[in-house]
Amino acid sequence: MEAQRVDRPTAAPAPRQVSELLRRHGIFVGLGCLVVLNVIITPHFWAWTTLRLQLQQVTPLVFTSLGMAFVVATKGIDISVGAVMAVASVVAALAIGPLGWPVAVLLALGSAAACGLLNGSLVAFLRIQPIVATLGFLVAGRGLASVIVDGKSKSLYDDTFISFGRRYFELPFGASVPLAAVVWVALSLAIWWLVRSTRFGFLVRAAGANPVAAGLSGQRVRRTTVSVYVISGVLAGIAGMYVTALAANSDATQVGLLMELDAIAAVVVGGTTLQGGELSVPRTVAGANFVLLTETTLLRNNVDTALTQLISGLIILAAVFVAARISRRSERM
Amino acid sequence: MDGALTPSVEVLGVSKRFPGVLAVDDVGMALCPGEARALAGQNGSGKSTLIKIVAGVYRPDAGTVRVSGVPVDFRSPPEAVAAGISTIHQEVNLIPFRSVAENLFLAREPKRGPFIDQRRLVRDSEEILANYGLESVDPDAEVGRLSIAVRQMVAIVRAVSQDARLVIMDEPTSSLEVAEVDRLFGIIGRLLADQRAVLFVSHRLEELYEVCETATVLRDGRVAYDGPLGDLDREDLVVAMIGRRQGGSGRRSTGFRPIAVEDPPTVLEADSVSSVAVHEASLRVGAGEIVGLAGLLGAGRTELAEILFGVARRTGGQGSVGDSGRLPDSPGEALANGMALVPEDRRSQGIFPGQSVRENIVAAALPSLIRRGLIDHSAVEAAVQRLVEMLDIRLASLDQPIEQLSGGNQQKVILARSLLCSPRVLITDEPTRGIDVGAKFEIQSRLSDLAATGMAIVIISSELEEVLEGTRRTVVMRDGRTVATLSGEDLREDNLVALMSAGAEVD
Repeated sequence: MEAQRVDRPTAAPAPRQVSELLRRHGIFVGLGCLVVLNVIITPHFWAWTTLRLQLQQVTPLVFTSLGMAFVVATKGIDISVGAVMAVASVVAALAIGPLGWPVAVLLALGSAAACGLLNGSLVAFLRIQPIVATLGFLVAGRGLASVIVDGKSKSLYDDTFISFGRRYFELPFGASVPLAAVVWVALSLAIWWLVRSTRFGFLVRAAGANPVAAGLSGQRVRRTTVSVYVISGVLAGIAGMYVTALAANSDATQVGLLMELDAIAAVVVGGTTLQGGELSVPRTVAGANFVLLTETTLLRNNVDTALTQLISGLIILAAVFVAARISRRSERM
Repeated sequence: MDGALTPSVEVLGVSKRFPGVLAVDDVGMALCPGEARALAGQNGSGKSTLIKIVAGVYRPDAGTVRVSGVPVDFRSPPEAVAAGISTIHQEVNLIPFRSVAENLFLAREPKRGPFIDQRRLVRDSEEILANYGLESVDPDAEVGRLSIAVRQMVAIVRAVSQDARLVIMDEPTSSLEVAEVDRLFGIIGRLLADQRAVLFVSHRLEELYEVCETATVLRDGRVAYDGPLGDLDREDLVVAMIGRRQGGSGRRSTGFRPIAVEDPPTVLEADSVSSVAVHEASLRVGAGEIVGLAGLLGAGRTELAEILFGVARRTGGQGSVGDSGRLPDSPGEALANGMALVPEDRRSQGIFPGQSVRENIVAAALPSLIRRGLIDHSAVEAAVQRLVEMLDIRLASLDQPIEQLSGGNQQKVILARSLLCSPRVLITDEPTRGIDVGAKFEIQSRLSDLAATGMAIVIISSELEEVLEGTRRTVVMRDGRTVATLSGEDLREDNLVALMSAGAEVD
């Protein structure tokens, strides 16, 4: 009852400002350090081909992380993104033969959006906890994808579709950038701009910061909640199609496996609090690059694959731990 | 020392400060064995903080707590329980999917070797339950399946069976039916006969008189009354809780100015509206009027505001806002029809923590600041700047997170958010609660300015001065009903107190 009388101090003392700065910009420093470290220790790292591969490989993680960032901003979480990738992948693979790639892409995006709609409705209308609601689809979605293709992996022969994964743009001086990298950079910039210039970005953060106050301010909070899960689903669908195009193959058991964990790690390493109310596109993209580069660093320094998984898991855990500690401290203000 | 006179629990000169506010200020209180003491006070009076100090949730900044004469320093609630202080909360803390018997003996189950002695567990539970007249409760029943009333009684029995010297009951009757309340009072009687002490908190005055013989009344964190409850009649008790008007009759102690409007056109009207918590309440507010809504805690004032603003589901009655000819079904519709609300609890219903002051101000009016689908940032800036100046909100920058502002400035931000929607009707629920005197005066004076521009304003306030000096008419609520409207000469302290405290009709 007395809670509302507890006013926070008017000015934040210096140490808190430092930790707040670290939370907001730490990921860029961390990413920079990781790049410098690689330039020093990893053979042939400072070569365009290596950087190019990094930019290409990070594509699905950037998409899923951005979707995750929307969900996390509403104080939710979406652990079904890997399964949604698998669904989009098999839908595209099945439809592309008889219907052609444009229809296949639309169907895949539509099915991914439907997955998001389902998740969002469970959270918004049935008030199921986000982690539980999306856990259901994490399990059921991949099962569904396997059932659709009868458990077999499926190869794709549509050249246009496959070229989305493999095309490069030539640059001067003999360099080239992958189409995928151009797409994720452009899409990230577009989302960044939309979040800042439209009402939607504010609705998402307001719904996460204080849903009661958002409702009293005339917002339709449940609609916002459903929207972020749909966005997460669609972005996961794009990621699933990209992976499928790159491999020219759809394997329901493998596409997007464990992607949800990397996506959550990317968001948290980016310094975004899981308490909701915060949505940063640049930090999330940097976080995705950090997570992938950590794995690359280990693999390229000839660390065994299994060990790489273990070590990168530990590194991410440590980064998450630090980020969480810092954000908890700055929240306490 | 005479053993019979040693208080079970004693609080001496206790203070607790939170940033920006002294929640409990040099409070003393003693409970002797077999004593039932009422703890009364309005929201924000320090009741909850005091209870939490005694129950080990907070550590006091100054003063001591003594249990049977021995000073104690609880670091956590379990330490208080171990010392014999049990708190029964509104949301009972039992384990819902375990049986009554298991809950009664949680963490101290009778053992046979390494195993729980199930037979003895049930037998002992039956015995304890029977001691408190709860023979009808099956020890094997799953707690989650019991009614809230029975759960609460099980919680009390558990507290007592753990040798509680003091049982603190925080609004124990708020979710009980009349018959269940009688049963609860029966149990309290046994507790007292057993020489346990009870600290009883309830916003239903008649219950305080039924249960307690002594009372501690808090106001603004200080003791406003300490003594036998029988020495206070209902009106005295209410006056102790809400404070007597200060400064005599001629002087004004608020920032409000007199309102001069004759027969203003009605902009907000509610005719016998009902909801779960409100019964056939009526209200009429004209343009340029400030109308007060007075009543004690739980009288249904906030709940009436929730009906008007489209938050609570209306189960009966009708009304109209502005030209819409109806009451809104959602806050969005309310805002669209020119109504705005400053909610009661700034922290849980008002601010968007972590968001900037700018965003906190534009939150409700954002749809009107969109041009071709995009936020018109320069219009936002101009609008926000205008309100910051108008309300004199003190801040370092508009980008500052709102929680860095003082309570008074946060409240001004919430008010600014409402005003940015250019409402014709403004409902303010405890607009000046828990903020410093300066900001309070400023907000009151702004509300008068707004009324002078023709805005219809409703003020829900637990402070007598605000209602008496700020409003032209005041509607008094009691038990979810609007019981009277006072205006002109009749809008006096004695009338208000009498109406607010009149005996509740038992329904």
